[in-house]
Amino acid sequence: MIRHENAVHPQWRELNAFTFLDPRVARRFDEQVGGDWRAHELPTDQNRVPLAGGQIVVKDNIEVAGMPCTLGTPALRHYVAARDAAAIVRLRAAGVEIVGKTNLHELAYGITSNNAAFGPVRNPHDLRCFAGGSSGGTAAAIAAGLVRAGLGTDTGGSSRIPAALCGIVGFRPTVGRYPVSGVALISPTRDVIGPMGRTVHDVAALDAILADGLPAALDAVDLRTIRLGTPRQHFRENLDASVDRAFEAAQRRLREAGVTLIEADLPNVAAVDAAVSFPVVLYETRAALEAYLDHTGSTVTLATLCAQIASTDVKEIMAQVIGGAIPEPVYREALSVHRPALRTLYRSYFAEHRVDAILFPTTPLPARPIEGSDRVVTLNGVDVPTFATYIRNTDPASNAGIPGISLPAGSHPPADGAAAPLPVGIELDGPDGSDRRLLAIAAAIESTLSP
Amino acid sequence: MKASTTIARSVSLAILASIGTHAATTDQNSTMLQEITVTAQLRKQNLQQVPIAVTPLSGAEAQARGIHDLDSLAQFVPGLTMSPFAIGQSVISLRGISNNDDGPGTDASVAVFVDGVYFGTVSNIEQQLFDLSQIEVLRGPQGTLYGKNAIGGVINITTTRPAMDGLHVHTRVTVGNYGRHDFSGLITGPLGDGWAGKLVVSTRKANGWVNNVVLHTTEKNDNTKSVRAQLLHEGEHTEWLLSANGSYINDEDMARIPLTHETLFPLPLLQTYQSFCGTAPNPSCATNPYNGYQRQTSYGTSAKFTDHLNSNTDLISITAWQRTYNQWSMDSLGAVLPLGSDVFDNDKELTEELRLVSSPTATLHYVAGIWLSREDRDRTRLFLLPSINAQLGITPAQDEHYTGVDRIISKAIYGQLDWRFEPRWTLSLGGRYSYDHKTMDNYSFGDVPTASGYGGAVGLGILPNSLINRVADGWGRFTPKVSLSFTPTEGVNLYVTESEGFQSGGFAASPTSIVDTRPLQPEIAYNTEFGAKMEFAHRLRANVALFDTNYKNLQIQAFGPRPGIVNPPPNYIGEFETFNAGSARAKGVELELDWLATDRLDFSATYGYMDAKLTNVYVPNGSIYSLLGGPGPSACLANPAQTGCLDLRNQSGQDMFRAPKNKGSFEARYKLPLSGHGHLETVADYSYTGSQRGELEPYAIQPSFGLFDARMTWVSPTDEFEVSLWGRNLANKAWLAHVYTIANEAFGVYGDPRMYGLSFDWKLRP
Repeated sequence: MIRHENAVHPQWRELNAFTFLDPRVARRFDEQVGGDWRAHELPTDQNRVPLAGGQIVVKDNIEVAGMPCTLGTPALRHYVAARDAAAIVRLRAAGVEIVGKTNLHELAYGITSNNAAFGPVRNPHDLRCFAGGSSGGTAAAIAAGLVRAGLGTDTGGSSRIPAALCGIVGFRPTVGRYPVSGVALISPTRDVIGPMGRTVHDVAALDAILADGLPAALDAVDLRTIRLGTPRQHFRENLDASVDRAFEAAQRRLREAGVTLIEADLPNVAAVDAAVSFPVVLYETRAALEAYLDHTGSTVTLATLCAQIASTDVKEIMAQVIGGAIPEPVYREALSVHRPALRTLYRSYFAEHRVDAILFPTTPLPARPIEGSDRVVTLNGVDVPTFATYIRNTDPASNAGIPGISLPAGSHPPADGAAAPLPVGIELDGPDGSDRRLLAIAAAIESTLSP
Repeated sequence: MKASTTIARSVSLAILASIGTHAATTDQNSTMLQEITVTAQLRKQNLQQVPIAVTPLSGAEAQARGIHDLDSLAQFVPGLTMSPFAIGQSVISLRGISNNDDGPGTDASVAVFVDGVYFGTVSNIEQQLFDLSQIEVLRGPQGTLYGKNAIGGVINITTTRPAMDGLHVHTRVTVGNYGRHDFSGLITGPLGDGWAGKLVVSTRKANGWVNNVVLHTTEKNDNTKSVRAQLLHEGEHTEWLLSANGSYINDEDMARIPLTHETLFPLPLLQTYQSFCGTAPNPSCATNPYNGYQRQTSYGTSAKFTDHLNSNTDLISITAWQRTYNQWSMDSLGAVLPLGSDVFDNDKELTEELRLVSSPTATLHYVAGIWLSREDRDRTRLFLLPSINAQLGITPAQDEHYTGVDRIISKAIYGQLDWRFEPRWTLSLGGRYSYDHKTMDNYSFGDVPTASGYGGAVGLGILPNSLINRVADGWGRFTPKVSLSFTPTEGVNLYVTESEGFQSGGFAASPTSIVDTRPLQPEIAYNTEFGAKMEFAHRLRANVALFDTNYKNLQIQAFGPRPGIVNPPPNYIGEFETFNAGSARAKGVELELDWLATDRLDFSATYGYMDAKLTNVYVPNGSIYSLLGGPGPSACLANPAQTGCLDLRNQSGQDMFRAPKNKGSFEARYKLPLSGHGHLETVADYSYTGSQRGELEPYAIQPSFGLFDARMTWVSPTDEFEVSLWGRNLANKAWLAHVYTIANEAFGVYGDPRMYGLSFDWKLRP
């Protein structure tokens, strides 16, 4: 548990958070420990890792020149990017230092980051549990106190879910807000770079740079003027008791702070979302990954890459991708009919209820043990599919293309009596293009909810 | 005389053995083969009664054959080879199984014990053998009674007990060619009522026999010291044996030489070497431009406590602690470019074994025990780049180095029951549950790759990535053994055994990405063995073993360039990779003969035939590369099947490493009494080792070699003095002791040339 501002989790090395750590950083750490690289007593005070200031970590599907870009998959473990991604160029120009590349769910195709090749990313709050995904490494590195902020990506929840499970902030901007060249996309329609950080202000600082030059400070927000929609249908069904408790407590605090909460549902959101979600990503991945492999100049083909996939869940999904599970007409329909319908659903909701954002628990349950969680997890005594359950609440915003941010709601002991309290996240989704306003609201809510 | 296994008789034989002069197969005054006592099953038994393939070697035999370290032991044991990767660091291979990963995360396949103390990663220290009582090589997986990781076999070394019967002194001075002068001294005797002590000291010194014609130095010298001190206390029912040991090696470079030029490796290594040293094998010529060395210090202590609970039962506790510092630096390429590779080791080991040995009835024996150990290994491997970069005119980069710190906790519980349920039949049932847990801290500092590609222009790319992480895993397994022995007639003992062996999982050395830090799975061996131990008329002993061993998940380390590299720079030579390779099978027959032809002349012979194949092995990122005259690296990566390309990925059906098909030895000993002037003992032996595969590359073969040794000793009438004239490799054959590859080219280390000398022994006895 992180107590002190600059404290580093004593077992950070065991988190499997990194696929690559810059040697200068590694050396600095080692010098801090003993001075001579030949002196190998394990550090007694492991909190002195000097990673502070403008240093971030970057998920290993965003290219940073001179560092590997493995996508968390064995076939690309030796691929080194020649050039910075466009987003990285902006960050470097702003003086940000990139410390390393973080581990992820293999090929970003999952929400636990149980990566069979690079190791499962462990949750700093309970090393037996997963960090969430697919940007688990970034979340773990931030939650472990190694850096204040970092980049993830988000297709259906991949920056928000690990943020929620690790007790940090994860942001999904409006699609198209940041440049995506140099990012290994799996779905050009849905993918965004997702900044993550210790606090909303850390994330807002990254957002300002990535969106190219907006003023860094967020507008102050008076919570008494804020209206939030709190749908029950779909978003608050079958919640784990700890999530339920945390969300109720958060609502109470917000009401006390003067926020107006309007209980209104998004009608039929699950069905409309489902008509967009997998059809779009499963169809687009093949071309997207082939384009990326071409860009790398590597001799690795998509077939080779798939043959070497280490995580069985990803191997199965990629078999569907390669096998053309989504026929083109279905994809076209998803893009031209169902996605616009979903966007209309959200637009109508914001207009009709005059809310600034929608509030709901980021995930129905907190993190679960890594062991045995690849296919199913237990929720309220019943085995449920891991992927579909964790992504349930975050998915719709990603398909509608609207921004969303996950904040820590506080840790509450899980109902099943497990030892360590695990973090719970709450999410705010805002209208298309309302990124800065959403961040400002989130910052105000964050200070209200902090203990 | 029927071989009996009562403890008293075995003890008396052990005492005879411990006084140490001639516990050999012959007795000066008899024409009978003397019974050999072994402790292969943790209790004293006649070799012929033990249902295990054991090769015994007494102290006297070791002396006669000039065996002063474990490397020279291999010539006389079927199925055993030793390949010196570095001085004092041999890869031990027994019945085809070995482990060539030299990192702290994996273990040797053959376990070495000295007076019951397990030597793990420290097994390669300079063992003091001057007070050797017996070495037993137990061939095949020993998954029941020995911890740990005895998947290939066990080398069991026992030293002589401190003498209670009076003062014994034994000194030996040896002078020989290459300026050899060795000294060994042993003094042992009683120190009071029930107390005895022993002190043994040895030094070996010889000049190098290899001339480095580039650096104008000599290499392959010998400079070692070792010491052992023991204190014994015998009480009425108990016994304490305290031991302390120390050893030191300080040697020059081991003279690695380039052997092949098969690929597009960009430097003219073999050409340069041959321009200095000629094209014929020239072991005494070297051209390595980097001057290497090795220094090793090891010391430790152990305490063995025995409680004779009753006349049938002993409770034994063995506690030991050992520490080794090892530092070596070797030239890697043997010519042209000074590419040095450094290793720094700092290892500690603490072991505790508690054992109950009992023979409650004449037909029932059992052994049960608990075994615990903790090893802390800290090993840094450094690839010295500034020297290479200066040569290439590139701004020196930082060195690439990898440090692995491994903490290993091992626990085991074991037991074996031997039940002679019929007068001629014995059933042995044994089992062991072993659990090993390793926590590995990896620190790898590689080059910062530049935009020009993998490894960058400044580095070698052996360690392209930097990584810091900690990984931990544990592996447990129950390994059983069933053995049935049948004595159809006196002097013949037949046995059939089914047993399992286990080598725990581990972590690869020099990982090049986080993916490569994931744990390696354990190796499992399933062994079926038929044996016959036969003695005829007490003059001929013939022991035969037929074995068929299946191995799963072999841990293999390979070094070479890997496919999937974008734009490999010209100086990219490859990287290490250790992986679980699949399955393998070794089957063969081993024969050991001792024949007392007359009361003066006796013969020994060993022969091993082994067919050891990798049955289902696919190297995950195996090398695909262009041979000389081939289409080039990129073309080969794109289409590995074309002519001029070598694809090493599919190893199924290929030979296992360090597993010669044929191996044998023959020895003749002749004793000539000199009526009143003592006697003359002459020993001549010839040993042959068939060719062995060194690495994945098909041309990395260690050729077969045959060595002829001889020794003539005059023994004074009272046995007080001995003068020996001895020679090893008398035919001065050039033979390769070790072959390995770098960047798919083969390199080798030659074995010793003709060595000869004169030894003087003085012995004082009460």
